[in-house]
Amino acid sequence: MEATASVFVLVTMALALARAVRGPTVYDRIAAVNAFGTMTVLVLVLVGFLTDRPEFEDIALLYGLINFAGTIAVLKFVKYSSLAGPQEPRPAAPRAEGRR
Amino acid sequence: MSLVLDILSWALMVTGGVFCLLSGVGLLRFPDVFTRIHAASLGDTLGAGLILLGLLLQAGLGADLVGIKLVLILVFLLFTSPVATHALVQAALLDGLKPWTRDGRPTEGSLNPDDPAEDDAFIRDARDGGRR
Amino acid sequence: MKHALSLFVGLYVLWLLLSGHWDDPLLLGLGVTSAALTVFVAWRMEGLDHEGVPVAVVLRALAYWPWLLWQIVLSNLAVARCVLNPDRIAPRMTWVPVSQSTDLGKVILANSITLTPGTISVQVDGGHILVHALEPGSIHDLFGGEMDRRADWVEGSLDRPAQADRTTDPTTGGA
Repeated sequence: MEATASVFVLVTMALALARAVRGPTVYDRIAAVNAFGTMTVLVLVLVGFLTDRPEFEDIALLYGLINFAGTIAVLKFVKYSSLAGPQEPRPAAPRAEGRR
Repeated sequence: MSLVLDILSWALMVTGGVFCLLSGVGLLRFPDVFTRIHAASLGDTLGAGLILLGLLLQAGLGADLVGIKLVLILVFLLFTSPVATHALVQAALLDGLKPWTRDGRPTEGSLNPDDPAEDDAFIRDARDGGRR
Repeated sequence: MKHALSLFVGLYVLWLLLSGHWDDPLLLGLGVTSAALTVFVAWRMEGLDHEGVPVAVVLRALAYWPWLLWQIVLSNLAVARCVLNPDRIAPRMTWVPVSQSTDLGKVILANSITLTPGTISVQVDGGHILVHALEPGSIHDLFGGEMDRRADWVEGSLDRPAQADRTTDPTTGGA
């Protein structure tokens, strides 16, 4: 029965991946990748139960936390073009409605 | 007893899976990034919650800590997902994206980036960094 | 000191739960070391105060969670209906008044708003929160103020910080 749930979650991952590919803005992609990461956590736990290997739960726990840190890091990078925060002013770039 | 538990946990997991699926469908169907984030939070909350709850019924809060770790995963997810969502929406708004509305008019509330009384250093930095 | 100690105890309990080895002196010692190191780093980052380690809030938050989880279930059903029928959605973004006096209270409320699908808090500014909602109905609920009252109750166990605490200019970065 973990297999049923795994199939649902895997299909969701495919849908999230489709949104990540289609965009159109970079924020759509980040949101999709974030959702993809949450689903990865669920798949890790489900596979751990399917194969009777509880170690997978530790990996899932860690993956969930790294997924969060990664989302914030990517957002910060998109915002400032640097992980250290706002620094040098960037040359002006024409921006109609969000970056692609 | 064990059979009842199995059926209950199966039902929880399938319901959770359906909610995950709905969040994926919403991610594809909704018109703009702000509405899509609402759909994504569907899978982060009830989707993940029901699947982990179903697994918790299987594992039990036994001495081998499997159940405790499931609860911890859920708690971490519930703490981190709103922060990531909030950061994402705020970044998108600061970048100048306009939320989609049904009648095409602008929303009644906005970040009002030209307000000089704005006293949030982070917002100011982000805006000035993005403007130049 | 109270905050440092409770953070240390919390971290060590987390270590014990995650490791599962409660009889190996080496692992227990490593746990003490890493928990102490984390408390030291938090102290250096000046995170050891009523906001970084809100001890007093935790107990009331436990009583607040079941209600919040129920709200999450309800709003999940509403958003799920929207996914099945996208014609239902009519996004709105508007400022909602809040009654919390401390920053921590506002964070609790804003996080609760974001955690319930269908509403996202975008920005906190003084006595208002900018909320993006998928359906007009969910924003009506927020104006009704049930969640505000409950978050107020969770916040109520805080010893209100002195006024001097809130006059620090965020641009100078405080200390």
